[in-house]
Amino acid sequence: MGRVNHRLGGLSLAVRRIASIPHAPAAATIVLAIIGAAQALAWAASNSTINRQPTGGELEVALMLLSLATTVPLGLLWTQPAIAAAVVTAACGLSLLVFHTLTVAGTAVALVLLYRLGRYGTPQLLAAGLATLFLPLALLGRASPGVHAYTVLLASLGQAMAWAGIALRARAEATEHSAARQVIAGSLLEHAARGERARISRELHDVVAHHISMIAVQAETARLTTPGLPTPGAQRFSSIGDTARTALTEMRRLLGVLREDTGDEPAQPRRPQPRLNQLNELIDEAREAADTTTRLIVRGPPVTLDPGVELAAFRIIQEALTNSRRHAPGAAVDVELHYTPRELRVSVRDNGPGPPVTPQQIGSQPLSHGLLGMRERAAAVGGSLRTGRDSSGGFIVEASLPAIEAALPTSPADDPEIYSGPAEAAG
Amino acid sequence: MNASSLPIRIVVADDHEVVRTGFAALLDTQDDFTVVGTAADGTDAVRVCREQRPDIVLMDVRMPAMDGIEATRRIAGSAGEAPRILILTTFDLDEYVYDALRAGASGFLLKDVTAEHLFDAVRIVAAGEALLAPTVTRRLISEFARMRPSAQGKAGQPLGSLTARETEVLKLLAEGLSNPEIAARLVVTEETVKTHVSRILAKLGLRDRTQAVVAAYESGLVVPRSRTG
Repeated sequence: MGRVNHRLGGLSLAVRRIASIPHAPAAATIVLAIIGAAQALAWAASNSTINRQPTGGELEVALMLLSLATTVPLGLLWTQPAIAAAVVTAACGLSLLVFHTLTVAGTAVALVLLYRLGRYGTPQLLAAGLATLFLPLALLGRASPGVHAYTVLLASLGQAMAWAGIALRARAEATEHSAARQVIAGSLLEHAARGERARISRELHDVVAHHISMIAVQAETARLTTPGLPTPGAQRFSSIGDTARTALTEMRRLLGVLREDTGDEPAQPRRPQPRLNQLNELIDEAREAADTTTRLIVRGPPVTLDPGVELAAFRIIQEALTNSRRHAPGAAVDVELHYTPRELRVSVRDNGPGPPVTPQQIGSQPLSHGLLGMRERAAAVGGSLRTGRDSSGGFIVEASLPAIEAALPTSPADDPEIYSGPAEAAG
Repeated sequence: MNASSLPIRIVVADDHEVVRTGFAALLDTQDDFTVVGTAADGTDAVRVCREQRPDIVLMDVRMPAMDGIEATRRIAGSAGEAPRILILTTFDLDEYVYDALRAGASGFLLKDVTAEHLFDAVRIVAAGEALLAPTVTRRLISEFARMRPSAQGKAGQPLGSLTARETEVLKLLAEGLSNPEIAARLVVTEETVKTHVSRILAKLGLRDRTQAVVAAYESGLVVPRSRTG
């Protein structure tokens, strides 16, 4: 099939190349017209010899005209394929009906026009309709066996050419549609990726800005509340504070730019950026929203990690839970945090139907945006993410994030004590 | 306004220990301030304010459980003499300014403010003055321009009780002018302006100048000018 397609492709390419020569259609028409006329004349001559009837030239003239009627309309191939095909079909029919003959040139023109009408003309089904006109001739023909066989061949080849044109056209249109769809899907993904990256970047900057403002607060506090601080020390603290303020001014400008990139975002959040100590809340919410079993499993000794890493882990889990709820409603979900000295392994798996089977299915679902976002999040902190079918058949999202420990806990609430409670209660 | 003999009572609400204890320690270095409580989230802040009845609350916006703007709304709307609220933010003010002022905040402070600015800000707000830097006023104006493009229609409605002169003073106030500037513009003494301002606040039932500015914009008395105008 592939080879046939390939050969057909090569052939159609060659035909197209010839057809694109400026005067090719006109030349072809003239050549075919001459060949057709010559054959008609030859046939008339031989026929009159056999029958020994005086013809007075009328037969020759009629045959000539009819032969031209079957070939000359080829000139209208590009502009009026429907009219050309109709005229040629009628002339061919007439020739077969009256003279029990048809020139090879006329046959070729009829077939080409029928194909062409099916492939590019309107209405395309007219091609099949015209080809059908040969059918009664083939069935009821009273001509000699040779001519009858020729008529049958013409009737079937005409149908075949017409339908080949129609089928090729349908396939070309389908290919075009799916190509357009892919372009749209691709640019949507690209757009989503850019928005997601801007959001991630904004959130990380947010975390950093917060830390810098902490430096400023502490520098001011130290400057004014340290008992017996000598003047040079006070000046040092003062300049630390100034540096932090300068950095923050730059940060705010940057955040302004990043915010423009995520223009359709909801207003500035009024909550701190989430960290893993809020995971229980998140899982409680998921449990209530989905009304299913959602478990949190913690392995290895939990430590407070860098806020950027914890934010990434939190957002990945959040997105994965949303995905499970959307694509595997009612499925039980296990969220697992595995702390090792080198990395934090996060996995979210459900016992739902698993990932969609074909790539088209993935592309047509908003799911892919979520997956994209999770991947970007993991990459932003130097980690990686994998999604796919779990050993049990459900969907799994697995991320490995570097275990960068937080330099200092920013508030007592950051202690990982939250994991000590039994978080496995099921909804 | 406040009796100079009594210290200004302050509550600091922020979910970060560093900010909470840092600001409390800074404020305590001033003789005329006393920090009467701290809170780690909005709910906590509402409770502490009910118990301590402070004059000023330094309020973070982003807090777990209840955010600072919701807490501001509850505290500013509480019965009796409600405390004045200074909003603390790490970030730029754009997105909070409108909501916070509507909720009843009296001013804004960035967390990386210098200690001297912080002290000034607290004293200014405690005295009932507006703490709106020119940039904040500009943002407020553009925010109103964005949110209420046709505020004109309602002009005068809730401000009917003001005299012509008081209305004029309120207009200038909403443009961000200080008392001396208003006095110069209207060719009167600063004392006269102060009298007008306190009458405006009393008549409209407003807590301070910031809220007077918000009222002026909300009533449509002052229409945000477009940049071209």
